[in-house]
Amino acid sequence: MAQSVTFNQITLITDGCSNQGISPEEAARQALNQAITTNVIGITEQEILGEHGRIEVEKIALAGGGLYQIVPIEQVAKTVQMVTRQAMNRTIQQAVHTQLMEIMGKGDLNEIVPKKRLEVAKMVDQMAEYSHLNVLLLIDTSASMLNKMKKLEEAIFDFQLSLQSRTGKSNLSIVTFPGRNDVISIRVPWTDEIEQIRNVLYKMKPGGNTPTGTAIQASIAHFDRLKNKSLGVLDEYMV
Amino acid sequence: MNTWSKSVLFPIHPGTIIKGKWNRKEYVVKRIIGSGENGTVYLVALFERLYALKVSLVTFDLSYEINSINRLNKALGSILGFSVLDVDDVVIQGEVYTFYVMPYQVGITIEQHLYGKGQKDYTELFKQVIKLIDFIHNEAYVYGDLKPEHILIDTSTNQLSLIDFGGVTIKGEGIRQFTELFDRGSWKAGNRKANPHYDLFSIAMIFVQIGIGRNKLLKIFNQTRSLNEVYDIIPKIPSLQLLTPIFKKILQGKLLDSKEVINEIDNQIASNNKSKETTSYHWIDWLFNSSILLFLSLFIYFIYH
Ligand SMILES: Nc1ncnc2c1ncn2[C@@H]1O[C@H](COP(=O)(O)OP(=O)(O)OP(=O)(O)O)[C@@H](O)[C@H]1O
Repeated sequence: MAQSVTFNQITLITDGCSNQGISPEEAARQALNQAITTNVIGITEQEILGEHGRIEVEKIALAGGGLYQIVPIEQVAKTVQMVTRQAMNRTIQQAVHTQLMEIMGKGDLNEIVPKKRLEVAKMVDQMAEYSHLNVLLLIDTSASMLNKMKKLEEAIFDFQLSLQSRTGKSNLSIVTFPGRNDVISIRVPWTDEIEQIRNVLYKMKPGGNTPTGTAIQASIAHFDRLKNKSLGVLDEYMV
Repeated sequence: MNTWSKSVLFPIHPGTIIKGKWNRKEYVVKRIIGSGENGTVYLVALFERLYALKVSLVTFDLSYEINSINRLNKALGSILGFSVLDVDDVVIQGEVYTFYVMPYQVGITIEQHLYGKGQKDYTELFKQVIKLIDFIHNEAYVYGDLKPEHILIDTSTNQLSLIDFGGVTIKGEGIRQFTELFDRGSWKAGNRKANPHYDLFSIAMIFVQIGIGRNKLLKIFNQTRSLNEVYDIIPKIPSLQLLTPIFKKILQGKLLDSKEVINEIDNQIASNNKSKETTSYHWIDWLFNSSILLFLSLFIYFIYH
């Protein structure tokens, strides 16, 4: 059963507020309607992201059915993998809650005997480990990200390691915004050859505005390409 | 929602009574022992006996930990010397918290224990830790989140014990919880698939950290993350000298199995003792030879005079 479950996630990494295009909250809601969860990792600089940024990060994750974390750039690496796994667990737990509601009329895990709860937790964990995962990393490369590219590259590498180490199959695509011509720029198309991905942000010159909402919308569309793609080919990306 | 914020403060203080909602046991809180990413651990008493009780708001992570302990306990029994004694919920000020109760492990961390000690103690303890982990590997598990704070030693019995089983992983699956400084992946020395080498890497790094000091290792980690820099430093630390070749082989991924490591340690100790013996033998040899020479020369001296 576990193998047949598929998770779709957008993980947005950003350091500020959107200042262009549609509302990111609205876009995250649209993603959730398409069964894509949106997580947000907010990067603080010297402990500040600003109240406005913090609220936006929270709102996007809430609307997107995902999780958020606000961390300094040094912690982004560890955070990406934690958020991804916890978001999967949460999605499964939500499904379990719904099932529990149907079966027992109680949706709250706290209402069942701890012993049974442990069984549920074991099942949830195994599903997350063995399930199929499609993650789109959506990285803000607006002007303010200029001095964070090296750490981000490390974070991507770290995330690759964790995806490769899961038992279940993973597909990854890496997208930055704003793009040069388009709102997003596809750095790595969908691939399951995760170990092959290298130097994604190499020579990237951050710049431009932060059209977060529009970028999320474009990411939803990018998920469509997964459906009609035989994966494993990175040719179009390898240079 | 942000489900895992660090250092959550619970309204639990010395004297608080934690009464299980399901099992109805009443634990009296003595003091806080420690707190980490997944919860807070308290020293508690039940019928005059002391236990450790871990509370968390994130039921799920706690459940993973409890399941790990139960599975290991089933497989290892008394070797592990650790089990979950009670799992329950407590309602405090309207909020539901999950907790579990485990034996209170007496002891200090191996880092505190090794402070000021020499090569012999380092080597012996390293071997003991590997042996302990080997039991877990034998049962097709990997411990995962090894760090100095998770390995305790009871100095009156020299008994080692592990605490915090939140990182325990079935061989072949992905490690769920780790600490970057001791994580093979973060050092770019491999992936995070659970295999015995994952733990060996952490243990080697733990001993390197204790030997060279946390700040020095952190500096390398934060600046260059280069294992070569680690290899340069360790031979210069007297307490690590005997183990240096083994550390290197582990960190380079050339030693992959705990039993092989134990063999290597034994060989290293044996050859070290031998070289000591041979130097002392040489010395006796030399004394013996020189006494013969002295004797001969005296003899000759007497004959010719
Ligand atoms: N059974 C025990 N006996 C004695 N002390 C314990 C026990 N369990 C935990 N502790 C103490 O409490 C501290 C925190 O516990 P633990 O490591 O389980 O928490 P955690 O939330 O998983 O932390 P971490 O962030 O280290 O993973 C430990 O470092 C240790 O000092």
